[in-house]
Amino acid sequence: MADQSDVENALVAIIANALYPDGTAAPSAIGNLCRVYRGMPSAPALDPDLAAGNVNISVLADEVQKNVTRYPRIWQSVAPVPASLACVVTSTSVSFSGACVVGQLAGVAVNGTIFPYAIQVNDSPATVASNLAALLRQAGWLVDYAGTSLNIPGAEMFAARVVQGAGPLQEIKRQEQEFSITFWCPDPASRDASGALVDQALAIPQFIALADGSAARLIYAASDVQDGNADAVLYKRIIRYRAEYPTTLAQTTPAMLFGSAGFTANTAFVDTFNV
Amino acid sequence: MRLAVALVSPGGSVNAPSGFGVPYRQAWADWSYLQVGDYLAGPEGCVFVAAIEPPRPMLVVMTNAVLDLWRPGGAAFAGANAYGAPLPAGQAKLLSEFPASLLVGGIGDRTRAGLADDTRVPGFIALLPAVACVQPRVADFITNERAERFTVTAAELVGGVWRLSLVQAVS
Repeated sequence: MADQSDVENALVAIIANALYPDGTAAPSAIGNLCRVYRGMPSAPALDPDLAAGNVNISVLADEVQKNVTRYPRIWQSVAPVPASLACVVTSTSVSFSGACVVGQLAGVAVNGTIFPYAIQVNDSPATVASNLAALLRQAGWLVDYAGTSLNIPGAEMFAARVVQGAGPLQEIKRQEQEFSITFWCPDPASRDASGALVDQALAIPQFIALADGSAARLIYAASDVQDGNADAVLYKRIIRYRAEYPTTLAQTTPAMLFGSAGFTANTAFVDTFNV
Repeated sequence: MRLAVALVSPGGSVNAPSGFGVPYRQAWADWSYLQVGDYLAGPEGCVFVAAIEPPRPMLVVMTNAVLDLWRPGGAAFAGANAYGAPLPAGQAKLLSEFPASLLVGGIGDRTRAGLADDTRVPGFIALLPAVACVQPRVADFITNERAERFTVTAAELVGGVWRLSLVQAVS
């Protein structure tokens, strides 16, 4: 089922990919180090970043929303997407190659913990590796990431896969909700550069892919600049986009990158295997 | 080291007890063995030295709490991060188990959780010896031995002592 957190995750991925088109192993497109995330930053973490010239971009769902449920509750098949992104796994590393198509899902499993990533419209193998590396690092893993590959030296069990598309979905409600993309910048120049780049990246796709295989319609809503915290060397910009997205039921779990299977022989249960 | 120490009221009087909730004491001792920030533990409790200004007696602070100082973490990586708001797993402990004075004072605040029993929460003042390699900041937080949580609203270094204004953090 799609949730507002799925929309937030998709927006984070699109923004990160716009700022780091070659992945985070290369400098950002605006020159400043940029951090992109859901949730509000805290002052003790933000202040040193501003002093160092880093840009923080937070994504938050607003209260502004409207119930726009209007479609009948019928099961719909999601159009399959070509399996154009590939990954090669060797021991504790994975390398991505090929073309990224929205609807694909890439992920790694490390010691039984799964890190899935829904491919976005501006993704490349490098940004897929970069965004997965971010998820792994946030979970405390030491990641050796470069180009289109990443390596987790400390992993005892490691797997990586790319799967395509989702199974049938039934839309049970639909909502239109505003999302705030807030830029916490150390100077007006980095605010202008990052704001323009991100606004363009969000305006290009009419629909963004969500992790359950459904899509959200993305519409520009507003933008404003705030200099009220300039005495703290903080220059803010808030860009608001309205997303119309469904809440769905799924017949199969579309994000089933990895899972467990029970094996039986002669009607007797044998064991459960991680696959 | 064992020292003979005489503690009297801040005004130097021995005719009346010290005021309730007043952490300061005059201490008479051989201060050639002491410096600001040192702890003295004895039958009257644990105090730390706040000022040594010979030939006047030392100013010491009675402790009534054991405090940890924490700094909330945030997004740590370039590009996409899982979450930006402070999470328990991202907290960094800056000081561990420092005896300190923690008394009600300063400015309180109100809770904002939207609960039916939302109340005003008290302000607190914490006094503890300063540590050279640590600088408390606004929005850091402190926990005490009863697992209560306080947010730093002001941090002031006076001599070798930190005076921290706090607001108790309550949901």
